[in-house]
Amino acid sequence: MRDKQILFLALPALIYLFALTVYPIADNALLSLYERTYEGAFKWVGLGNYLWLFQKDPYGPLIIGNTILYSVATPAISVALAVPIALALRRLGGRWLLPLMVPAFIPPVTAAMAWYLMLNPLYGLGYYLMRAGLMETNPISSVWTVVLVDVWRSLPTAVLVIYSGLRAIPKAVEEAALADGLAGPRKFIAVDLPLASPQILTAFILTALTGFFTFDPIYIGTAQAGPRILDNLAYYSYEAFSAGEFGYSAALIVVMTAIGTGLSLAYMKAFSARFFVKLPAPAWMPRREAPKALHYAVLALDLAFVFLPLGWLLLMSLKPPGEIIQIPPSVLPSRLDLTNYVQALGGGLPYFLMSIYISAINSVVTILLAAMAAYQMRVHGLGGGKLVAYILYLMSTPTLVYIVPLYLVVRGLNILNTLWALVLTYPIMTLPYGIWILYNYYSGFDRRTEEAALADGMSRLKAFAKVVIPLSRSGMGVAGLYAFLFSWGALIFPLAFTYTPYNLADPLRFSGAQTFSIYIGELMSPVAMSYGGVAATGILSAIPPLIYLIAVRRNLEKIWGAG
Amino acid sequence: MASSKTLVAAVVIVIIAAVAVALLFSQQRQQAPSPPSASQTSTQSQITTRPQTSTQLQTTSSAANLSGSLTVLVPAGDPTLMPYIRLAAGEFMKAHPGVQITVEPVPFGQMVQTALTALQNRNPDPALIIFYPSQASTFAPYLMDLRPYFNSGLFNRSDIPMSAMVSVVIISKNGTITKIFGVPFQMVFGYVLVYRKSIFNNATLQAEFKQEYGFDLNPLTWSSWDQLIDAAEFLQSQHVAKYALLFPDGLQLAIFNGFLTVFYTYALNDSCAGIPADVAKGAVPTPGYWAYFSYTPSGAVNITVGCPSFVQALRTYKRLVQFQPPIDVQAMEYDQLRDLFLTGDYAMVAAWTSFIPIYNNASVSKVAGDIAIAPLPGGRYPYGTGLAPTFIGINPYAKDPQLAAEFIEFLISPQMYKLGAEKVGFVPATISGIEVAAQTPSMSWLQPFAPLLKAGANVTDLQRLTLVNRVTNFFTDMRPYFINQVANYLRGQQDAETTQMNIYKTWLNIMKIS
Repeated sequence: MRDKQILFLALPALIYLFALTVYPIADNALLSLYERTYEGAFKWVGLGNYLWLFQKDPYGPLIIGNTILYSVATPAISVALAVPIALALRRLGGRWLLPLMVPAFIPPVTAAMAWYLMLNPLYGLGYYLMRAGLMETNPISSVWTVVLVDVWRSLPTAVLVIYSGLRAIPKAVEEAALADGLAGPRKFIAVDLPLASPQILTAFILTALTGFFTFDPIYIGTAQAGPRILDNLAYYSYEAFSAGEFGYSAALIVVMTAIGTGLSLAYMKAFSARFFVKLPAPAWMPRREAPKALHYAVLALDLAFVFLPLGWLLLMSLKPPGEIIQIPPSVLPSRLDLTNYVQALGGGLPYFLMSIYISAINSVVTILLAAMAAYQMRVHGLGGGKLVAYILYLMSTPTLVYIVPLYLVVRGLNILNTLWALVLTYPIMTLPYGIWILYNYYSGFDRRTEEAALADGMSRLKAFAKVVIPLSRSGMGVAGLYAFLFSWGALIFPLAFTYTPYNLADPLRFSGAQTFSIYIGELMSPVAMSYGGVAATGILSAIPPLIYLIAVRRNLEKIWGAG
Repeated sequence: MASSKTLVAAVVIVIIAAVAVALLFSQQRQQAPSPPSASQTSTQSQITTRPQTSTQLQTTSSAANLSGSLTVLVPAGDPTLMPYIRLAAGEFMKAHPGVQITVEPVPFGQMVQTALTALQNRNPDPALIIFYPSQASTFAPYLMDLRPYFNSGLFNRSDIPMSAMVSVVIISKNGTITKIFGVPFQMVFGYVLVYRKSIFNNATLQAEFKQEYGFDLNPLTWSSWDQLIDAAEFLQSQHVAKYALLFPDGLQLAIFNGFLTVFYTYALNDSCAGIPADVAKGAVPTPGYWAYFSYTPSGAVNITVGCPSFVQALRTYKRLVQFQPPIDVQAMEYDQLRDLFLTGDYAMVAAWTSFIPIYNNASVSKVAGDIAIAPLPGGRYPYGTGLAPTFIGINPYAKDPQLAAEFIEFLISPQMYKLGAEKVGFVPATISGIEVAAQTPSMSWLQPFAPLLKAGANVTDLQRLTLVNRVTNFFTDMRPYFINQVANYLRGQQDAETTQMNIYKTWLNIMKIS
């Protein structure tokens, strides 16, 4: 009876995931064996699409190489930078964490646009860098700029995770190290690094996902670099889909998910093996604590890195239109022009509201379903390693796979272009990630609290609701934050399932459900691109996630420190 | 233990069911959906031929009883497209009070995905889909065949140049038209030469130029790239602007279209390219990607990249882009062509006509009111300027395809075009529409383009012109390779002959013909 209740608790999340993901994934795999003809028929080509990618596609190897580069360089650089920053935070106080987290909560397209506008060699700071001889070619055209933007977005997460790990080192260990005369860099190598290894590994895999799925910096940089030069598999599969090469797009997705799952499984293996980084400490390494000034310098550099592109974006949003593209570029606006904000708030209001609704609802749905499943998986071993592997696989699967099959479902339920279409489909994006966050969180959960409740005569269901959930608030808060963030920036699903903005004249019908990300996309039309409008909406789009971040900031450390 | 077994059993059942469903659907997907033909759908009015002489936006009595609803999917951002669609929708609803039209904007970059999702799932909405030539082959299998409407005269075939139709025509291997799936209703000409009137009308400069070069400093009189380059060199030497000429070399698409503009004019005179041009008959096709492909006498597909005119064009292209920052500093893509000319730093730009309202917007443009337009390389044949029509197609699962067709007919009527030109500066796609719009004072710049449209009205070699549609990986594989090779040439990393050979060999190797 009790064992069945374990399954029963996890069932809603598992039924949802299996029912809505297995068919699209199987369908995509089958589709990868076909090629679309001119007349629109699908012709069987077997492994032809895969052979094309590896043997005939002039850019196949380059694109796979870029995928691996982004997936390795981004985390390597992020983690390398995050360590000294986390050490500085530990020394100077966690109050600096909040401003450093900002880039993680900027929508990806806004982040890419901010860097693009700042580095532009004609009307950005790039102009002055070229004049000073610090740059010779357009930086937008380099794969390393894609990495730079991804590092900017993922560094906060790496800092948070590693900082949480450092803070979770038991006080007794710290005191013993001090007693042994270990301090500063030597203590870091001998004590902190090994004990924070799980968090460093976690930071690596989280930032690798950012690089793996990167899209917007490629979209913006292609016009200066050349087609395919910056592409990764995620971007290339989208291009192939848009060009009607559905079979080839499906094959690219299969390859992509294989690589992503491989990376994730490698992480899981290392994590389960309790892999510890142990490095020898050279004799010359100082034993003394580094001066505070050094930590402040590190912090200042990171703050500059965080706020320079955001500051440029803010300036763009306040400049009159004629000043945004003037050459040479002006740094400060000649006058403050709020037109972009007025337009964004006026024209964008229905989209903004819909994004708030769906992000809030989906966060709650994700938290509840994820908690129920993750607890059973972690504490009671439900599904074992295979279920965890499937969750990781889903995290590596692009949402493009789901849109055509899910469209049938949404249309069949007659909820197209309504809030309910998004409520039904958004958890596919957020539930795997939420389960994984809470899976990690529950690894440190004391199951005796549940056993005590059971011993008191509660059913497992009641024990979960009345005991486990209240004690899981911090973890659920963080899972909700990331669910909110993903929901807020989602684009593929609202594009597929909605086609008009929220009808404010009849608000309770919730018909018309286009989101704020669609509104930003409309402003980025090539014909009438409004840089100021995009900048203003970008600034506005960062506000709700940042408010949520402020509310749950204390819990962020706890969840990543618990692993 | 029991719960694990139950879980495994449940998962296995779901997986088997999912794979079975996937197999079933993949069987159905062997063919694109066979939509109902236009003649089989129920109608709410008779098809009538509109009286061509009517000057009022009224309908004939038999069509006045139209009722129903339509949704139109419109890519957002074009400054005249959405206003025109809304204007036309409003006028149509006034004329037919029983009709409700909803305009659905979609971000440009996501248009294909949104429309395809609806079409692949046989959703009746949107009933009308607006798309561009580069998306035509993707939509081709899914949109309705409009031949019955052309055959019945609802759409006036003779008023639409065939050059503007090639992207939406499907030809069988024996040359028979098997489907027309879109109607061009908006025309964008590109690239055209936009130049500063204040510079070119300067009498002193005109006299000096004429004396030095022997021809007029007037783009409307030019007929060669050499003349354009001579004028640019002259203006550069006179320092009348920071840069004489802004020419597209952007690495997403502009370099591909910009080069074609040049190549085409040389290919017209190159027997190797075999372009079917008959000036006397008004049968000179306008430039298009089709120019890169031809049939051999045996019916095989050949590519014209190997022709002498290709190398000639490369060299001229390199001379054209010498007046702007190098490609490695700033490649001139769509955004840059639109934005940089606004700064007043350039005397001329090769641009799309869709930029003209932006260039004339005094709130952002320093050249507002100071621009004139000519075809490229000049106002005289041969024209490198091509047509970039915007198409509208009908969803075969729309609730009322006949109503959708009636709306399209209304959209391309001379009366509606006149109103569109006056109110929003909309550029029509039909010959009569261009002539009517050119009479509007603010649209008088259209006048040189009516001959360009008429020149391509009667082209006949449709097999050749639609061959590129059969190259299924043209956009995903061949075009990117082409762009990167030409970029390497512009950077000075390889010579013209090497560029030609690389493209030729690789294209032959990877080309997929359906």
